[in-house]
Amino acid sequence: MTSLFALKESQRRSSLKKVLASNPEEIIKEISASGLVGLGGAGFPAGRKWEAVRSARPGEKFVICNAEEGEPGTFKDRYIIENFPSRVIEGILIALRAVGAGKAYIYIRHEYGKGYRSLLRALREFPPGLMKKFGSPEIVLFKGPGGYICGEESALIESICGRRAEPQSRPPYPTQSGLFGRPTLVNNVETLANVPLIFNTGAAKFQENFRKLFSVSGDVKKRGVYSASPGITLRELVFTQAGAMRSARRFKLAIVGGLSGRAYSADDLDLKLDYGIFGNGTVIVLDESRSLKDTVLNIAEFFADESCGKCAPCRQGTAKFTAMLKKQFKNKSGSNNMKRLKLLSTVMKDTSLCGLGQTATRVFDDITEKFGAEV
Amino acid sequence: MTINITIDNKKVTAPEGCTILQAANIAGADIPTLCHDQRVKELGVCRLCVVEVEGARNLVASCGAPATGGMKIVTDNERVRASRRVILELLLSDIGDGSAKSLSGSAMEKLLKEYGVTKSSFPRTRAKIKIDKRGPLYVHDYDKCILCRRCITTCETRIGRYVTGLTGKGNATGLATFGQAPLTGTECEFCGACIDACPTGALIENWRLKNLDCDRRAKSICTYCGTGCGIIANVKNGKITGVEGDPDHPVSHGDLCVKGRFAFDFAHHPDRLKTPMIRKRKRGKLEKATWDEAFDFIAKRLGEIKKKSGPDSIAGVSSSRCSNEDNYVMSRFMRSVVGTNNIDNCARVCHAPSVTGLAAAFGSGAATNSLEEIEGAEVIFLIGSNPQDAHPVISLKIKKAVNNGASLIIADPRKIWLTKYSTIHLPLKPGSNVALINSMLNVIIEEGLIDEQFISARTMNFDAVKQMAAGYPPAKVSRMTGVSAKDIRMAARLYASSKKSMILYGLGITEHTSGTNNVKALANLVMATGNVGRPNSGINPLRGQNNVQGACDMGALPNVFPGYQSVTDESVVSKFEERYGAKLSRSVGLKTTEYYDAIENGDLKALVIMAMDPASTDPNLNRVHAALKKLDLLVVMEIFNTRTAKMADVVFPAASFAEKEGTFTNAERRVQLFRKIIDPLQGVRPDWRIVLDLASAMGAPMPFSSPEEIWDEVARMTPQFKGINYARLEREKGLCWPCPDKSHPGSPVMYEVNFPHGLGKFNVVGNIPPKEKPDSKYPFTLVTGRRLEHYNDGSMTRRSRGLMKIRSHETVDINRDDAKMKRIKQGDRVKVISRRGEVLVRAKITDSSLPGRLFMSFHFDDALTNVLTSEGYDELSGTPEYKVTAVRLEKIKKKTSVLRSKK
Repeated sequence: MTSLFALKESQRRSSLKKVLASNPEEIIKEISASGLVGLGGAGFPAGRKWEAVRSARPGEKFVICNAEEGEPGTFKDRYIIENFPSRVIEGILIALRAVGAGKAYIYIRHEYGKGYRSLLRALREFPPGLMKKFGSPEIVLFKGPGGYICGEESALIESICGRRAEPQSRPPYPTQSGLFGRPTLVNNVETLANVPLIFNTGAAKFQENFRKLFSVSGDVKKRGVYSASPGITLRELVFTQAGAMRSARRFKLAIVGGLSGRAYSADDLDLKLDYGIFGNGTVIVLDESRSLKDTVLNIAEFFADESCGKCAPCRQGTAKFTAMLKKQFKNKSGSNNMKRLKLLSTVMKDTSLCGLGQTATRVFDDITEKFGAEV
Repeated sequence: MTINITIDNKKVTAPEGCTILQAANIAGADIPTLCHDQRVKELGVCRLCVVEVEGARNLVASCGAPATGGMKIVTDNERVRASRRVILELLLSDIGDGSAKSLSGSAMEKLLKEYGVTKSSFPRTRAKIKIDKRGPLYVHDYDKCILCRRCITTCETRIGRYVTGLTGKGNATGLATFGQAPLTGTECEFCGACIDACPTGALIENWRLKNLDCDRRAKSICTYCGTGCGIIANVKNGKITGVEGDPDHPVSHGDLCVKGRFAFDFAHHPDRLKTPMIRKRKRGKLEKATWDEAFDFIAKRLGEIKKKSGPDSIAGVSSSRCSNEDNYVMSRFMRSVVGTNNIDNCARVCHAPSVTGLAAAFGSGAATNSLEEIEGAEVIFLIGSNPQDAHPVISLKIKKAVNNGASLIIADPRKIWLTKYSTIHLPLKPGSNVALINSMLNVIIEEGLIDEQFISARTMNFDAVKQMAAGYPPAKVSRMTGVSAKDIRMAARLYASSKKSMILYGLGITEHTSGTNNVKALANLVMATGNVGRPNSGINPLRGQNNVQGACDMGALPNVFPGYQSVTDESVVSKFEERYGAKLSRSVGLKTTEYYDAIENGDLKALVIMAMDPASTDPNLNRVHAALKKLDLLVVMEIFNTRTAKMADVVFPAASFAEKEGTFTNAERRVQLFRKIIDPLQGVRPDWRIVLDLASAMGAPMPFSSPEEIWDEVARMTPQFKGINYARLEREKGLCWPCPDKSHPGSPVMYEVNFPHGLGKFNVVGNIPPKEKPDSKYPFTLVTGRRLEHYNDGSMTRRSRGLMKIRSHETVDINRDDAKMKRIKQGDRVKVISRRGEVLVRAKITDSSLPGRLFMSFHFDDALTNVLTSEGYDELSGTPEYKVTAVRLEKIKKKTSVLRSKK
């Protein structure tokens, strides 16, 4: 696999030494210069987020590592946690120092037993002297109770507080008022794991050599985690890196960014998977044997199951959408039903409180646009 | 600070920090909402309020989104309309048959009409939910629930309780009580705030299920406590079918408690007295009689008694539940027709010390500020009062203040519910009020926290009080009160830390042998810190009954005319003599608590009681019953056959508050007009009418034909009320006296410039220990007081079916460890025994009772608590020490018949 996140002990120590010799502003300057963005899917510039927490009102602050990895087809964070847990811990320590927080939570989905144990071991084996130099912060390994919506940062925070995991209206943002009402930095595993690499090579080199992790699954020969520079084409990723289709059947569809992402047909194979397109880096490949009806229904059922139920358009919309699709596929209710599905899709996108409701029908929209007749 | 934004192409200036919804309201744009409630934090769950904001990818929920300078907003276009329509249809799809008819009569119906939604085009996906009619009092019809969360947010935020929660997820999300318990198995206090909040009728009153429509809706003022909430009664076929809060009411704003909201059915109870009754022979039965027979009977007897023993051998008790007009004619009757100043009201047993104590300090004995100002106070010192049970709507204001950052200090021998909100709880020993308060003053003086400017400019006698306070250092007082010196200091500092510190107090201050002193001690604190004569400060006695303030204001007191004009002041008496056309007594009359001595001595022979039940509510009932039996004549005007009525020689059937008009004065001196809701029951007369008819029958008619005429005389004779008349009361929703002339707006805040006699007076107050002292034979201290669900003697609330479902009997509230020590289990029958009597009652183990202390209310017939209570009283005011009774507990081994009281 990739040794993107591997660091020699000497490199590790020198990166951390560099951080310890810098003050918070300097650390964040380096993060900003590196161009690092949120790699969990949102793509928000990491430096700006860190600065927002650093400059928030003084007092208790928190760092949260989002290891919920709930998006179907995504397993890159699991890969990092199981193989390079120290990078995650180092990234957290650097973040704690940069924002002025003394406590971090690693929110890991409970299904990742191996990853949990891997992190636990890494925490125990982390050089105590080094931990002390970082101020002996408290790092809590928190097992998420489960649910896709727990990956949404404000719902994740509610979950840690013992409340229903429901996204909160913004403003205020977690950077101002997050865990227990305090300024909180929430970053994805991959984002944090890249941080020690920034201090290893320096921001400029990092930006030059940055590689995104892609979780490739579906009807390809070699399913797995791939690292590639942003801008790699879909064709290259699927047909070169992942070994092309696993059978004689032809490529039909790629769902990029997870079920809340976009769908691309064979006409889009030269699409550059660049910033703003790759999302969290998930690519699910479907070949021509896959029923698009089943696909679309499967996705609709997923979101109806995972909807937290807080806001009306998503709570009601995801359920009705699924029911109407089922009816559509059973007895071909015709164009009026399709019109209502499209209207519902628009309203969910326009009015849902969080990303789940807003993106639940995106793949459906793309598939109906590109494959109208089949759906 | 303001910002400029554009709404629907119109330029609007809005305050910085406001939401888009608030800005739109300023611009006059009408944005629909469902989950929005401006009294609680924005949830943003219905998404109906979405608007289009230039530059935003999606539509924006205007309820929570801040408006920023330069924003361009469109509140209504095709995109927005389509979204709102779809959302409404989505919600409707899981209700009933998906048609708008399922929600007829609800607030949401209006929205459906507006957006042309008659039936949802979406399929139902949520399983049908059966209506839960277990109640009591209101039902859950969750098939209509749109999960707007207004009910739970209201309950959690404003009421402070957790009754219902969310279960399940996604489209299967629902509301439920913990463990699906019925409401009586939850914290629900049945205030109905959730019912008011529900836009679809998923929460609905039992009565409304039976009577959705009505002939008319009539406003009035609640008949229960001294908060004086506005109510709106639904009337159908001449009966009250239901009650709602009045959202336009300046004090309650639509809020009510369980009694105001649900305990209205007493008015139609079959037990209502409908005919006068006379006990012709002393040991005979009460028999039906005509009004004339009853009047003649009384006129004859009173004439005889007056001739034989003089007018002062006759006394009258007026009513804190009846109107100002009822009270005034009663006191005028006693003074001008009977010829005595023996007129009193039940303020005697509750807030008389407030009248004497505050008058001694400020020159006038009433609340200094208005109830609304509680919400803006920075520090609230709640002492000897449990508003959560006795004044729930006032408790709401306290909770609101604390939610906004105010600090709450509670001094109470019980761990009352509101301690959840308090910064500090001082669990003082019952009867140690003066020591505690003087010690707080000691700290305030010692630490230089006094307001020297105020003290020197507006008060006198501070030096004497300063010297007195020096004798109450916290370390010494700690032993006397059971409160740590640290806590005394902390409470004192907290109280003195703000110029918006308000004291709220109740009967835990007044119903003691040191009642007047307790009040004076509090007044000292107020003046020492300059916390009077300004908004959101002052000292407010929380008057218990709906018109106890008014009864006192109307001069139903043995020493004063209306407006507290003294009966010993020659100029005052002559003024009234001229008005009444009769010679009036110049000697101060008897207090009700002095009646029993007088009856036993043979000095008091007749008693005329309007709407009071001393045989249930005075202390040391065995003595009271014996004394009442000794009277030559006992006349009672009542709506039910109470314990006192049962002992009477003549009983008159009176009209309830719903059947007449008049004015009530609430705890903040607000005179409020209330009008008839229903026609009087066949056979009853309003109390003022009964008194007038009696006066006529005795040959001394009084010149009134309506309550308004009665009020007008009061206003004419009393400087503080001169500016108040019915027309103004109607227009201005009540007026706080003093209101000296027709253009005066009323006085919510008193003493802003001067005290009535110029300067305020500091009073030296010593610690007067309770008369009742626990000893080895009677080791527990019993505190008596009120419970939420019932009212005073319970004659009205025990006749309300719904309320009896919530609480049907009395309990003695005992501490967990005490119960364990005495091997008492939850619900065990126990005997509570005092030096004067015993009562059989069920035990309730609760954390609100601290070790060594018990609590009982006086609302129930089956446990006549006042058989136990003490004979001790406050010297100056005569108020009994209901708050301290020494008792012991005995467990009952086997089931015995209920013993009411032991002689």
